[in-house]
Amino acid sequence: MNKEKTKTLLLLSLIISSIILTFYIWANEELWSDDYNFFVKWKNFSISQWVPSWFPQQPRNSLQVDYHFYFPQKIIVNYGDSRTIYVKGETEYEKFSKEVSRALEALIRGEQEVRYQSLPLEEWQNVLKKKSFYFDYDVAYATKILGELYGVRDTHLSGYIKNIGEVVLVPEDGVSNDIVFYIKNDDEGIVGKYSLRYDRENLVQLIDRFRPADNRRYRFSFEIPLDKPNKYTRVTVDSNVLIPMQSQKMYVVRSINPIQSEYDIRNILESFGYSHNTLRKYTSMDNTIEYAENDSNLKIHPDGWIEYDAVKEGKGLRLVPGHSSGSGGTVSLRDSMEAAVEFIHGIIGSEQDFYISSVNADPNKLGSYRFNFNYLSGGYPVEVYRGQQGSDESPVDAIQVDMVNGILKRYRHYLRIYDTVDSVDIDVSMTYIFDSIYNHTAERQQDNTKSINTIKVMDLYLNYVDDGNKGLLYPKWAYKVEDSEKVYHLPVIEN
Amino acid sequence: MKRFIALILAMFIMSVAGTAFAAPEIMSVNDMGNATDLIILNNNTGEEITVFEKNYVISGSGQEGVTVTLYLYNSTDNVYKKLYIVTKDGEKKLMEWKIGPSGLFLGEVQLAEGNNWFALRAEDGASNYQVEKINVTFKKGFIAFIKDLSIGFSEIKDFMNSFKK
Repeated sequence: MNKEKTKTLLLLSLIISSIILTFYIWANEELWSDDYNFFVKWKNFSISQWVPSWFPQQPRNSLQVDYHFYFPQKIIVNYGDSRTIYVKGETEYEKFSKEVSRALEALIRGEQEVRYQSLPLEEWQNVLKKKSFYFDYDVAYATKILGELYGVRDTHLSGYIKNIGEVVLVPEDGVSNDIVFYIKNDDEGIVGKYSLRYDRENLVQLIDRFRPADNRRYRFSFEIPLDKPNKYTRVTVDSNVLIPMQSQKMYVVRSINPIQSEYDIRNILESFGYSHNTLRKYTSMDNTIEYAENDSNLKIHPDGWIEYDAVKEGKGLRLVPGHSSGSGGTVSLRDSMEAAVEFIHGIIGSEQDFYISSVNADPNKLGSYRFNFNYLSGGYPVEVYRGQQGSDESPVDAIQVDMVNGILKRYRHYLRIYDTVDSVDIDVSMTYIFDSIYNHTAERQQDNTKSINTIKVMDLYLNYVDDGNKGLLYPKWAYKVEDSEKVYHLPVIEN
Repeated sequence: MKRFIALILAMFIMSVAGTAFAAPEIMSVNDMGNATDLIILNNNTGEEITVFEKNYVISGSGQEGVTVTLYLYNSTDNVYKKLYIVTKDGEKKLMEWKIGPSGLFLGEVQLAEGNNWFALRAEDGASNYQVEKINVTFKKGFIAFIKDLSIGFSEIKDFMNSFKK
């Protein structure tokens, strides 16, 4: 009798477990037909998400988003009198940024005691001359947001500094076994010095192993100096601008719109969770294709821009699994960003590099974030203009992702792949560049009937400009001047 | 005929005048120039500068149109000679700048170990020229010395290994 009972129980448990497993696979892999049917409605129903959450989630070809991603795309290694810049994609960049990021995380977490001291802003130039690692975020991060990117909800650093833009890490301060971070605090006009105990062996070894690369030396403007005006100077350069001393190697790249066929469009639709056969499709006069569903719409422009909007409140594409609306918990910034990056890779693949340029959190709506991304080619940023460059237009972010509690609400993406065509050796005759900046500015100011004063260059770097025209992109010098946020460009001269 | 001779004479004078005021290949150590307000150097002049890096930046500002030529002291001949650098293509390039509208000039030179005495001659195309001198001593740091030694040892090792093959 007992034997029979046991057999029955075993059989029942086998049947139940196979039903559950079948349902799990069916719901997880969405093994229903593409046609509009009953099961499509259940896709977002809470129970169909609740069951998979019992089982450990298998990564779906997800690319791990590590600290490299929100680390600045270039890191400068200071060797005292000279320094070398390494950009994303280079082996040395990977090594340096990994170790420096670990140390920065230790500072953000504050698990070890952190000793703080405030120094006058004038000390910053002395700090830059130390043997150190220097990096700056193009747009300063709110300290709280930077902390959340490292997975720390309320970093103690927020009590010292509101925004973090420029950071110097000195592995050996010559006095103690501590490592020291110097963070420029422009809001208060001071430099914060943060010392903490840390196993710095890797940092020290790295900085000693890599001597200044002969073909990539830079000087800060204040070292030359180019920041001090006198009776002859008509161009000065902000103290912190890095001036290249050697010719730079870059590439001519081809800008390719990856949407070439219906197949490519289908892939995009699938990324947005659309069923090709159930959408309403419209084509406008300029060949923009618009797909509409009850809760959202998607536009694909012929120049490669795609626009997605969730039209109903509370609706959109769920990117962070396991959270349902009304569950009470908010999705963290880190999880939201990782989901956004994975989603973007799903659309453009893993070949095209991009970086996060800014993050905004809505203070009135927890879990609500906007992430802005831009492309890199060979480690150099690509500036995107929608429309004709040369007018008063400003560049736009290539990718913009709005998420609320893990749900995609709004998405803008300039689809592009940048293919290298040929290398180019760029001459860095700085006198020519500064003369050109003066002439360029003088032409603009004369057009506006302004008189020409001394021009202060606030930023100078190499990049690419994509204004939507097909064809080749040549490297350009990008620069900013005082009292203007606009980025201007000069052609490079090849050696 | 007279006009023809006058034309030839004028052309001759112009060419001589032009060459007379172009920077000479060699400059005397005692040449102090006849002007002081054509350029302002950023580098310290009149005192010895000691550095531990072989790459040294020379920079300054001046009136637009002024030509600045860099000279290096030659101890054998006891004169300053124009400094030429060899480019990647193997060509000789003169270290000279014509100051443009920005008013700036700058360039980098590689120092030899020990004393490097430079002179800059700034000319305005009329008869005015200014001479500034910079004395830089390059000392290799101890760490750089050890690194060079270790690079030297590894080169010897590679050389010995090439025989084994």
